[in-house]
Amino acid sequence: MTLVDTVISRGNIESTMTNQAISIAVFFGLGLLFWMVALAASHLVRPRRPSAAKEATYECGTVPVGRAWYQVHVRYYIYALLFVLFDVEVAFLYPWAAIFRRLDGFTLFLLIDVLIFLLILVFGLVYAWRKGALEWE
Amino acid sequence: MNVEYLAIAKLFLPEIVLTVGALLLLGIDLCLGKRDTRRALVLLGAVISLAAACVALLQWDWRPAEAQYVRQAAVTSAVQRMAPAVGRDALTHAARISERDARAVTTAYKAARHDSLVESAATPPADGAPVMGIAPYDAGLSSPSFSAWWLFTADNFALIFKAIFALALALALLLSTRFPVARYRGEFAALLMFAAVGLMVMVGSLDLVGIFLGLELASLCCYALAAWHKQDARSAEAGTKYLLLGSLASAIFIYGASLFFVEYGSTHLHVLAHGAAQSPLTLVALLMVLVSFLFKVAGAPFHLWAPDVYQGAPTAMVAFLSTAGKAAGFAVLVRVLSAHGFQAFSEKWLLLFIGVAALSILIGNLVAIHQNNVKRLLAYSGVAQAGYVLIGLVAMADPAGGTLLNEALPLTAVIFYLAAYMVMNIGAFAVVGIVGRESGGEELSAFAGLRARAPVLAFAFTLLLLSLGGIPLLSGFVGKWYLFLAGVYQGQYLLVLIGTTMSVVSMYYYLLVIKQMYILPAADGAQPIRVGALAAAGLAAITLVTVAIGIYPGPLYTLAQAAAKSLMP
Amino acid sequence: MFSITGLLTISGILFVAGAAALITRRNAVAALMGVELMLNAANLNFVAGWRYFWPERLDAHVAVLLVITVAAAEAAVGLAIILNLYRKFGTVDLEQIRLMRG
Repeated sequence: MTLVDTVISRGNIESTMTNQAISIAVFFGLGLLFWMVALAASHLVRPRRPSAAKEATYECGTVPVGRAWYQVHVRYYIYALLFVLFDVEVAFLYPWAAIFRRLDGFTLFLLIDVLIFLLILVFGLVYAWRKGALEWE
Repeated sequence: MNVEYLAIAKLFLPEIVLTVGALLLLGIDLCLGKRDTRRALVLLGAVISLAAACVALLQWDWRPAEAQYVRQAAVTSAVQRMAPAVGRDALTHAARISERDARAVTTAYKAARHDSLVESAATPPADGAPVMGIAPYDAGLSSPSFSAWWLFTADNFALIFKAIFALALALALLLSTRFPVARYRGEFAALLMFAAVGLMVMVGSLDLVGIFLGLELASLCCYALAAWHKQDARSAEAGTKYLLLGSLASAIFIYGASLFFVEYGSTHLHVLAHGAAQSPLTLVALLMVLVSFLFKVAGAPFHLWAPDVYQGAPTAMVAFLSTAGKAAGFAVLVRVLSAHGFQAFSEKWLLLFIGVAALSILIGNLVAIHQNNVKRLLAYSGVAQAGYVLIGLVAMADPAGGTLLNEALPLTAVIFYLAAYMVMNIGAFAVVGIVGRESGGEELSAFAGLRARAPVLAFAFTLLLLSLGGIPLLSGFVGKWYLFLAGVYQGQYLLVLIGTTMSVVSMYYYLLVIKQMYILPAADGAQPIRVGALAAAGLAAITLVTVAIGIYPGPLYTLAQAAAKSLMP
Repeated sequence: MFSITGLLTISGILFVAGAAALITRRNAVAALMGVELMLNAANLNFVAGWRYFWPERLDAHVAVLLVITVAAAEAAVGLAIILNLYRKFGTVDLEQIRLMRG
């Protein structure tokens, strides 16, 4: 019996749900505890000698420039779109992969199906590329 | 294997033609680069959409109505036998459908194989195998064509609407040949074609989620098209308004569908129809679904987006949206209500529809009088026309018995009117588009003296406006006649009275436009208007068809009647 | 801990909050976020219905996937349109965008 079967077997819905909620709560509590203990311990142990360089915002070692609030250039937007496109596409591929072997006799059908699906997406990508939508200005 | 493809392809032939055509168009556009190929591309798109219309009509089921019921009856009997399992208490009683019921599904499917749409054989469930749920993949019928058959249909009702969309698309594309933006012409045509594909999926779908998919495909394309004119701020405004209000309607629709799922465990129309229990949740869900589509067809008081979108968006897209989009909305309303009708709620949605019909007719016609912009005027006139069609939908319900569709006339009238309206309204927008392009605006004054500047255009526009107003011997009159007749037969006297009175009022503002064209002189320096050959050919065809339907409505009526009967059990 | 009533209530609250955001917010992007809330409210209904009433019906999963896709597509198209709006008007304040009346 797989996990999914366990979860959806009807009698257990409430109890599994509660169990999951409890484990989530435990993890949350542990995470909170760890964070508090670590910060408190370092606060107690470390010496305090502040300087301007130490007070500055930490940005992976480089010197921070400008303010924290600034407008992101709109050209990132097209990349965000492309990311979303292929992100969602993958969401469709998971169920496809899950049933691929189960549907005996239709594997070729499923393969061609998903190829058509991918082909249309790739066509869209090629179209955007050739139209110059991916150029960095 | 090939049989599977064939069976699925038969359900989606016009859609496939259009999709492949649109991709082809985009590919050609890409290869040609910056060369100016605008007319050729759009012409290719129009030819492809005409081909799709032909395909839809070639699929037409000419068999007698009884033979067509095989599928409907098979599905109905299968779902009815499962009806006890439909409803929320199924969980405690019998969520698992017995083998006998599973066999009923298989029998239904086998019977329906005689239907020309499905040819492949599905494996019946092995004896003793546990069968769960109603959905075909649960019933052991895991062939892809069965799933497609269960979720989509290509009955005559869907086919006539697919033909209407494809024809509207072809006309809208012809109309856009001289569209000012040359660079993106291929994309414009392709987006319109994808929108048409979405509408086709919508009318062919038997499942609310399938309808949602088609609706969104069409809507997303239309949002982009509405904001098409990059140099025009009004187009940007139209696009934003349409986007926000359109997605509000879509979200309401899918929320209603999700409530249906909570109640019935399915969003399939047949399942919903047979499980129609009189619970408040179902009522809310049904109202949400209906309201979102009343929004799409721009029935008052859900029409507020229409005038702004119509005014700001490119005319070719508005011509398509106001005809094909409206027709698709009504098709889905009919499809949802005719799935054996939610009898328990017939009074409630009837009341909603009567109210919306009366309001649409009143508001549409009365506000149109004050409009100075012809596109806005046509938008309000479209609201009123939606009200007339709603009379037909109201007449579909039998007020006494609470049942639906025991007579073909109301639905026939609805389909007939939507087809006739498609032709005449696209024609009207074609004229507005041509005049607007040549004189730089769609104000009433832009039409002044059109008789001298373009006599043929003025004559065609006059005919089309008179047809919209409902003058005898034109298609609009015949369509309204059938709608009002259906209303009278069902005893909706008040609604018909409002409709006829307001038709007379509507003549006033149509005549205002005609007065501009024929009586007032042209503005100083107004140039004669040149009409492109393609647009002229399209306009001539539209006018001829409008007159032809008005004089001899028989063939279209027969077609509409056959389509209406394919929905009736 | 969880119950179907609670989940349906949450989805109802989400839906109403989304609709309110869509109707009342002056910022076009915020209004678009309202649409996402409404779509996700529907998703929550589908999942809750599947979990508590119809564990055998996988229709809900298909519906949820499709709604997620549609939401993504709508955000993409919507942001592009609002970007275009910003270029034309220099603002995304819906109150200030009123060229057409009547």
